Amino acid sequence: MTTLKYQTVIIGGGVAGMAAATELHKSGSKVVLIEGNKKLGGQVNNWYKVFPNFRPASEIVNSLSTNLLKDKIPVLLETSITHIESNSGNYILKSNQGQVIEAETVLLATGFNTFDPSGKEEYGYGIYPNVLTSVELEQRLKTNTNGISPKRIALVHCVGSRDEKVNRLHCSKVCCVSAVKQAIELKEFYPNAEIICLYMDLRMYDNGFEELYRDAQLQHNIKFIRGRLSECALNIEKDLVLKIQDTLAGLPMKLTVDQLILMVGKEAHQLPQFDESIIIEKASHGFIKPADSHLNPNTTSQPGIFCCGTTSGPKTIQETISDARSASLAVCDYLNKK
Amino acid sequence: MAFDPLVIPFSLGLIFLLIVVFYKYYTWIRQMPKPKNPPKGLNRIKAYFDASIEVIMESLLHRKIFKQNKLLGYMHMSIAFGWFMLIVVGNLEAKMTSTNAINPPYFPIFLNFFAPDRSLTPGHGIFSFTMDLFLAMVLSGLLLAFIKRSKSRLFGMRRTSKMRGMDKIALYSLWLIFPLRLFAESFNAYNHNSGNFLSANCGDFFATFLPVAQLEYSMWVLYSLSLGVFFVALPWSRYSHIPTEVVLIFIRHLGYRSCVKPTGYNMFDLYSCSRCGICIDQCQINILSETNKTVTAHYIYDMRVGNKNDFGLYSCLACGRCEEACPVGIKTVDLRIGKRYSETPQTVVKYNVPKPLKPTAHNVGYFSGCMGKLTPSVIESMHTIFRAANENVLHIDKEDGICCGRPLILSGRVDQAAQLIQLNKDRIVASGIKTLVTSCPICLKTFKEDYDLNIEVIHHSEYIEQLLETRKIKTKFTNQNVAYHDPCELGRGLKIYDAPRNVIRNVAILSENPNKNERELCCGGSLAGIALSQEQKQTLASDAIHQIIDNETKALITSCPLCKKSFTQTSVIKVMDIAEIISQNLILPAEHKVKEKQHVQEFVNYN
Repeated sequence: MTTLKYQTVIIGGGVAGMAAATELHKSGSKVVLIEGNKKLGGQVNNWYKVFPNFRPASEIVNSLSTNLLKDKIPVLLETSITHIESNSGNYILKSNQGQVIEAETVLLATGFNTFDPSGKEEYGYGIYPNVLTSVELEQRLKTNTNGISPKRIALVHCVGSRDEKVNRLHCSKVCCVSAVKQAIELKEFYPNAEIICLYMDLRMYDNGFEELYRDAQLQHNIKFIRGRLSECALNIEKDLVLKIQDTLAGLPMKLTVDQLILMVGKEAHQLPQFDESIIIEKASHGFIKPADSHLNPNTTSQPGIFCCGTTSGPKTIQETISDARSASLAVCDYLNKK
Repeated sequence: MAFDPLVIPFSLGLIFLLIVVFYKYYTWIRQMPKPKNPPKGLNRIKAYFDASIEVIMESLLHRKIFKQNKLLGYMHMSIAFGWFMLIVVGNLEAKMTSTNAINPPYFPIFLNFFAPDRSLTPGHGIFSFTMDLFLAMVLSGLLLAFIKRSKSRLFGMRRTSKMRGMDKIALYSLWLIFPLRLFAESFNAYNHNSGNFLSANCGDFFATFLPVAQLEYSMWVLYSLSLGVFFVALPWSRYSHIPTEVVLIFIRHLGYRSCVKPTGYNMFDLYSCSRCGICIDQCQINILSETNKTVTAHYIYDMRVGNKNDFGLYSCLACGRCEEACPVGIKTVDLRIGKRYSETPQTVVKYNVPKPLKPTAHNVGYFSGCMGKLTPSVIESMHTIFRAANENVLHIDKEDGICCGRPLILSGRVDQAAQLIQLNKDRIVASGIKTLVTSCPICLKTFKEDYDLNIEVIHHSEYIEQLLETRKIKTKFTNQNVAYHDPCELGRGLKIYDAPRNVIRNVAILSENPNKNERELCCGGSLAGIALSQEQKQTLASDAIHQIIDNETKALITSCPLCKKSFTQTSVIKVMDIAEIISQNLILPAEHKVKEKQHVQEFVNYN
């Protein structure tokens, strides 16, 4: 079997991997993009519209993949890297398809998974059909299959984020604004329904977020309750009864809803298996720990292996693309110095 | 009356010891509330008799330690029983030797010094042989104890307790007592041409290179001194267990019990610990830290000397594994909760509780508990089973419920718990049910032990077992390999081991793990482990899972919602409650199937 040779292998064909591939190609590096699924786009494919401007998510994926096509950048789909070992300064990657790839640098763009809420059983996910995750809601919004009109829907923030009970202390960054976005979309689908967000904090930190939150309250009449959901049960009418601690009033309350959306957090996607000699340090939240979070955010503890996008922690799409471009600069710098 | 100044250290030590010990016991006994069910009449005599037997079997012969490890058992037995017999036989011999009606207590101890020539004493040969035999026995035990300090694995212990403070003084003086006695006795035997196989031969041997005639008196003085020092150190050392354990056995047989609000009984428990270290290997906190501050043998030391050890106090899972292993039967969990109680300010809380239930015609009530609320799959499965069995069950805490009180007890808020318990009890009694079924072993234990309910209280595994036995429900068998985990409160706490297993065997192949029953590991999620981080709890859970399941196991079955929650977060295989595996494998009659379908349909009717 022949060994394929490239300067840079990018693992993960999501928005980060695609953006980095184009950028590295522009600077003259010989690059290949590897994606485990049939389709490029990664997690963004699961989204219908993106915040803060309700742009269809497919537009972003299409734009990035068109660039790849235009530049004739090699892409291996349905390929996942099973093993990486180092060989005199280069890296040898083996795939599930049997390919062997040799590269001078590896750029990890493996991204994130969403938290599986079935471990947090008290929220009723997997037990009551009307409890769904934010990702499942996107699918239903996309295909317009959320069923007949519910009277009241609640969105719970921070499911699998900032929750010591499930040993996930980090903030997933995008769920707050995602919830506001989804609440508005639900309101537009069901103008007569009452839409309630149960939040811990609202972290509207980026451009346009705060405005979206304001719109949600003033234009769309979405209710925001600072409260923690403790448990979800069914009443005789098969409605979901939520027990909530209203943390502003300091009082417990009950809320009957027809549908419950869990804003699931981000957690690190599994990395390929590395040879023992390769050490990739991880931070406490499980994502890759950059060598220097301020000055070298894309460098890992292993020379020649870089990371970009949500591989090093939760990010928005915009941040992910910027981070991917910054990573390609770091990779070029490394290749030039080599 | 025979007297020599060399008996002074021994006598002073003994007097001091007796004063301290009697003063302590008097105070503790005064602090003990009257037992609830003390044995009366003939039973009282029987209690004294049973206690005496137990003292012989446990305090002298160390039967339970023998069961654990023969070498360890022999070590403890040889020192305790050998020494005891030395005292008994010595006293007998002294009685036979002396013409006085009463001998001073030191007389038998220094008998060879005061009456070296006893060839006229009746049975002299037997006495001298027995005394040498028991001295040899004690010395062999001491040798083993010395070896155990560095090679504890020979005694079936991976780790052993470390000596601290007063223990060291007591230990060294104890180790000196018997070699010094051997020197004194053997020198004496050589000088007076007496003694038996041990003392006579040792005497001959020492005389070949030592001036034994001149040294004998100093050996008796040193022997007396080591006894004196040991007696003074004893009440503040691990050796306080020697007298205390005997009293503990008696008060236990007389119906006194330990309490989460500390009483004198807990003090007897505290000072009955010999820090033998058998509990150390049982403590799961070992996997979290090299220097385990939580394990009972160490924590009891801190409690006795008043060291602050908050981690040790609040990281304990109250799983009861150490209590189960303790050869003395010390109520280690109550000791720790008692300490939490005394460290926690007790305040009166105004609880905002739901109204009492109205009397109903239901016979069976179901209490899912707070932990059940966190695992709705268990509640749903129970309701499926109730419907399948055509049982009309009142779900007591479906909409509103009151906590059973156990989490408060475990955190030391015993008085607040008592308030809750009263409120919840009123609510349950008002409903008029005859049988209370609960899914949560934590609630079950509390209902059984702290509620005084005059109705039957059973766990859902026992209830399902009854339904299966009376053929109210039928199940199909799957060739699935499953493992069962005994929850702490249900297993060690209430000794319910068989019902869950019988239930599981109806639907799956049950493979047992080596740690089953009373040796089962805690899931790590215990409400008592307040000081543990979630990460530490998950480490415990994952360690436990790996010891419970093997490659063949398809599902881990437990019967506690809290265990289910702890395991789910870290398990690679499916974790299910016993109710779930049963409800999934029910054989329903045709009309039921239609009903079940409707029931499921109602969930999704608007989708």
